[in-house]
Amino acid sequence: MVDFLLELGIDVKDINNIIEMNKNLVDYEDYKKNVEVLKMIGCDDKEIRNIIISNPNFIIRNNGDVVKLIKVFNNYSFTDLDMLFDSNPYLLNLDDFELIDFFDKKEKEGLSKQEIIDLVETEFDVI
Amino acid sequence: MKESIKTLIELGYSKSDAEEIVNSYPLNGFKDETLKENIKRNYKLLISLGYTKNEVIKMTKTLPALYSLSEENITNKINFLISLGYTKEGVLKMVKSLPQLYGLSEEAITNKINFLIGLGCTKAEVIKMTKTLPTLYGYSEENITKKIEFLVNLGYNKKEVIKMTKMLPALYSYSEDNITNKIDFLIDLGYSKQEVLKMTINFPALYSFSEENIIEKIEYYRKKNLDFIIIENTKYLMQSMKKTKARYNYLTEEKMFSLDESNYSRLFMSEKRFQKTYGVSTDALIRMYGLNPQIID
Repeated sequence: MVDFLLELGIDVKDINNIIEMNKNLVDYEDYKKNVEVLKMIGCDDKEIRNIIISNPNFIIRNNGDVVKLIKVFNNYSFTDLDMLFDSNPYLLNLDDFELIDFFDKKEKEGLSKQEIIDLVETEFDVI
Repeated sequence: MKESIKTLIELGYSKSDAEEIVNSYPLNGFKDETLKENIKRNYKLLISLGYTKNEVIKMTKTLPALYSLSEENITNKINFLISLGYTKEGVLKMVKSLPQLYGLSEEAITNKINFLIGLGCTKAEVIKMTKTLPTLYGYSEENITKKIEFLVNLGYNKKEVIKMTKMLPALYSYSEDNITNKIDFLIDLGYSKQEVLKMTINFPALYSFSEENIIEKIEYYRKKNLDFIIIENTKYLMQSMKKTKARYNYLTEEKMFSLDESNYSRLFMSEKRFQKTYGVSTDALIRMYGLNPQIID
């Protein structure tokens, strides 16, 4: 894991902070698949580093859950997911049902789908 | 080999993990046959709740005591957490991060919630914070208080600290060195301590940004004489640099705007509003200005 993070260009100081925040990170084996998902949605190396350093828990998420989440973002017609997650890496901690529940709740409050998308894109801790 | 160890291996554990689990403190007092039955029963229960095999293995390696609990213990704990305001899926998700939640008493969980409410959070905020950071249930009141005192000693008042932790619960997981280093780093970039405190109160997520990310953004806004954004509206630092650069280039070169304090918010419009106002998508602008490294390569 440490070698993998170094290969991504993450420096030792940040790696130490990441490991300090979550000792489980060192044991997880599926992190490469989650980084591949970021590449698939168009994240460049800098964005990948930004995401992992800000939100280290992302790379130890179950890859199946991450893929399901991305599908829901796509279903709601979010564009430019690379920029969305670079702006707010914590969105990647959501499960698909949490995003769906959020949309349902906001739609019941009278917001249109586009207004909800705008909210998610521009407000940091809205979900 | 003990039957319980054989059972774990059959379920997908490595031999060393199986031995470690069976010989761990909560389980080593069980008779082998009893433990074997507990393992089979609870493994089946956790799978039926929706966890994958790998998640069950990970959770039980973290908390072998999961194999000492009765089925009733586990389902009662789930129902109790639902009664507090979590959804069932939310509970199952939280436990993946903190399997110890199944081992905490209802009293301990309630006390933690009441403690956080006592600090100035509403119950809904506590539910949200613990969903974001389930490990908050694992921090002692002493640890949480110590972190708050540390932040107050840095210059925040208590109300500001609680506000910041509501927006960024992960702040409780950052080490004191991590936080201090980030403050020193921002001071080295030319900001006063008061300015750094102001920026982080407005946008606590700045503590989670890498130095590379911060430098890129600050240098860019300074170069464009927009550095007032950094202190006055720090949350705009969250926007992707690709988006900011594309829009800046377009607004200043195509639309001939001179961006300043009166109109800089155009850079940070929602995508829908930007497209409606200017008839062009940020994505198209990124391609137009060659800001996507994949395209350049």
